[in-house]
Amino acid sequence: MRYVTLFLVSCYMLMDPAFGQNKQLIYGLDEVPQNLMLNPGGVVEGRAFFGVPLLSGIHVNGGSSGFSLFDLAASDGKLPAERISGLIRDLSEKDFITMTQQLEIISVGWRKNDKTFYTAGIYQEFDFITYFPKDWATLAWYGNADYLNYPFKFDHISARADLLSVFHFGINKKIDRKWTVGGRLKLYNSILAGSSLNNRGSFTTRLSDGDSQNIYAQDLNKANVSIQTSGLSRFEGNVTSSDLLSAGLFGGDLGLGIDVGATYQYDDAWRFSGSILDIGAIVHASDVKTYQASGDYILEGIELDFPALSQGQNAPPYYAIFENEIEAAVPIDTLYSAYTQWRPVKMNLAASYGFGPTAPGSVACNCSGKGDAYQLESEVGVQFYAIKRPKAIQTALSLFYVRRLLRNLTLKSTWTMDALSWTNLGLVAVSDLGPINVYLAADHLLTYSNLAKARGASIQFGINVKLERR
Amino acid sequence: MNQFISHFIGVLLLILSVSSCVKDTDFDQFDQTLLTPVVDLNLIFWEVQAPSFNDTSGNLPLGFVRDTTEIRFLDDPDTQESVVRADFLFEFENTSDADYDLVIDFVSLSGQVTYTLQTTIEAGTLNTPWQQTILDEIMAPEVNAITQAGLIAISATAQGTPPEQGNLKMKSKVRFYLEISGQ
Repeated sequence: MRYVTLFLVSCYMLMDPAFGQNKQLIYGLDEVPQNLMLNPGGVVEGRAFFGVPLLSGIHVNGGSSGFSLFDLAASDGKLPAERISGLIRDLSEKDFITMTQQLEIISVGWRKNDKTFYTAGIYQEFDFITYFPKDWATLAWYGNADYLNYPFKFDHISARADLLSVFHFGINKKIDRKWTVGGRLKLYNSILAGSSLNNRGSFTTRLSDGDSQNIYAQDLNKANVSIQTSGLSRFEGNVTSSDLLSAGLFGGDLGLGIDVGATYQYDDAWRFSGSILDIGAIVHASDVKTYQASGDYILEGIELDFPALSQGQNAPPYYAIFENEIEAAVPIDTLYSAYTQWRPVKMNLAASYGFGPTAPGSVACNCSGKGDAYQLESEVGVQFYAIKRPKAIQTALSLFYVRRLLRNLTLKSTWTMDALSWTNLGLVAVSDLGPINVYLAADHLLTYSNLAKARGASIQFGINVKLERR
Repeated sequence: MNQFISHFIGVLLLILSVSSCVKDTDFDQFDQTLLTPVVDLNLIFWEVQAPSFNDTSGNLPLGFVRDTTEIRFLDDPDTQESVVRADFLFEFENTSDADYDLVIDFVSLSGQVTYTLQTTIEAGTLNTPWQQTILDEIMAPEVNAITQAGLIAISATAQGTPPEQGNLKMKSKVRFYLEISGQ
């Protein structure tokens, strides 16, 4: 356990803290069927479950790593310009704003036998992240006059948005009393995608050092900036609900991916688990437009020639020549070729320790030590989450406490340290009212009295019908 | 007991949801917020060899040169709205033995001169060029005369006999002080 903790802490220290698709409240919570979406090798209860269509999994979160709404727009008497200047100064190009929304449309799971459980379903996802374009915000806010010799870097522009539907089928297999493994095949259907990633080059204004005939050399150096889009034309003109439905049902660009996961039940108390999700890519092949500008250019200004003109002759079209020179040096192309984009791969790791009496409703004792591990009333543990984002792997570390209060009520609370906060407390309540399974989860609870001061907010909700084993 | 705890948790979550709010913020304040960038741009540069002042092949009199260029961004509506001050910096270098009367006209696309800058460039030699810098700071409301222009016309007249050798050079840049409304 010491080594596991050491590993998790080391990972956390080495990487950027994460936010976005972390569902630390649901991960590892056997009572919620959607736990299997986070670890296909998770522990499954019951004979089958059916998610209530459109209500079985609703997940929304959003946040910013560097500032809150209050930081931006507090009614504290300060001048807004002062506040914005402060944010531009304090934020770095690694700070980001993110928003994720997921909606399960269909979600079902059924048991083949004691060892094998299948899951299948469709969900829709919107995921957006933009990094703070610090250099370009600085240029827009202050201009370049006080930034001579400073290269405004294009790699500060980095953003990605994806709207897609996902069709999935998973298998969960109990190998023996200790090991459960699982995998899920995903078919991605991209409805709309846009991104501006891996931009390069810079723009610098400096005093001419022989490389310009004018006062400044305004140097566009090795610029390579692109915006990739697919599916935009689906949203042009009159978009009907049937257009959206057809785009959501295999009408977009397709891709494949897998989830894998495993759980190791060391004994009745200790459990270790891990999963890797969305190892896959989407091939954007239809309705693709990539806008790309690349090149080098030193902007000198407009050079006059003072030609000897005869009566009726006009001066040369210097301005048009100037524009043509720029367009020739830094052409803006529109490309229609297909491109492949990897999904943001995610990883979950967890270690937990159960203690106390057996959970309400469980068997009293696993006395022979040979049967399945039995559920204890309380559980504590640590979870690690990572997601591959355009600029870095982002991570989050959570400590959790699970308490099975009653036969049909389970609570899990988490303390998560991520980019947004080191004091992110979350709570999920799961209740089984007969066969109806309901869960509600929210985090950043300490800031609920004034969400403006929160750097993030997240809520998850779902209703399922669970059928117990015969 | 069972029901009580269930109801308690339900009510707790409901209170959390209902009581959550966004307060102590004022987004209307951004209506009055101005972006105030200060932007430096190269403008025009040229070099006229002394013999050009003796060239009578065109329609201009001896000792006189003139050229014009469009500066379309100046009369752009966005520029007109946002420029509150423009500082023009002109650097001259004269290696010919003539003084020059120099006129820089800002001209609207309809041909009307909206702003004029005049100066005299003194004579220099090939070994000791005459160097001169002019900074013209144009504040509001005079700056409107600049932003209504779409052309810049530059003319130089050699005083006395036109020179035989040397040249006259100009470099220039402009510093725009912008105010861009948040509305």
